Amino acid sequence: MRRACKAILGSLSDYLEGEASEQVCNKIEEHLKGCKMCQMHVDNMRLIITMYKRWRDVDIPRALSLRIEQVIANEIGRLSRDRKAGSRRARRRKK
Amino acid sequence: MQTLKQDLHSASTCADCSGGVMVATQKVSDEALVKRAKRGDGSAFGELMRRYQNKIYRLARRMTQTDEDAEDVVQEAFVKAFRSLRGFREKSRFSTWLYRITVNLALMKLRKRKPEVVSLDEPISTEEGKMHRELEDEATNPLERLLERESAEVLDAAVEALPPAYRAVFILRHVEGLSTEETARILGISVAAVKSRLHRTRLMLQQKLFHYLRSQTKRR
Repeated sequence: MRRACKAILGSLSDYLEGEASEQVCNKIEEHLKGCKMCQMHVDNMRLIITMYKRWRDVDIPRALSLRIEQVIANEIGRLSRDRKAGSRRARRRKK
Repeated sequence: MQTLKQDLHSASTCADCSGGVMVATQKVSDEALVKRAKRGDGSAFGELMRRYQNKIYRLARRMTQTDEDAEDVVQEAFVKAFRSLRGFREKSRFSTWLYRITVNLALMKLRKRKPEVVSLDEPISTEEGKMHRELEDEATNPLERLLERESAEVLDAAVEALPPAYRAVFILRHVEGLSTEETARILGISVAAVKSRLHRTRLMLQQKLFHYLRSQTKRR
């Protein structure tokens, strides 16, 4: 790998996510014009990321969502019982 | 129990039940909901769950690659978040904290699994029996053709073959679109380590896909 290629790699993630500064973008694009290997790397990564984002882009199954809601409701119930028991113990200690 | 469930599933915070009321509650920040939930407001935690359940499910599904493990991870993540909420010091965003819990649970799940060898060269099952994936002639961009034809299954196998720590970095940074800094905070590593892992991940992914492409070309 050439030194010029190594120099742009650190900023490549920001560039791919469109978050690199204008200065960094210009530097990378200037390099890509003259480097087929890096251009292919960038093109392939864009493709991989786009395809992978589409894959499994599903919402949580309704049944799972309801199940978790029930589990958390049980947790709230347990917490509430623990708090009540705690304050009863505290009252008894005061007496 | 009914009261508790109603509390958690408050109509004022549920998109399915509330209609217009939701518009008003959308303005409530995560921070405010966290404070209310810490004081024991079940409906506030319910709203946080509804805000993040799809994102957390997708993250868990992509990390674990199976529906069953993803469901376990999501449930465990919300229970853990609920139980640990009082200890959450709010130095980071709630979403970062929740992502961190989820990623750690997913990594634990992956560690418990027996080591699997995932091969992109494995034949695919069809109605006519098992067959090897074939590539078309005249591939101008072989990777593009491969992904178009076989869509994400090949890509899924390539991501699955990544070591879990690298898979996490790739998913958080490039799929979930989190910043490098946020990815570092979630994984508890430095920004430099995120960048370095991302670079290695990109190379591993492309290497695996091109290795697969080459093996298919040789078969023809």
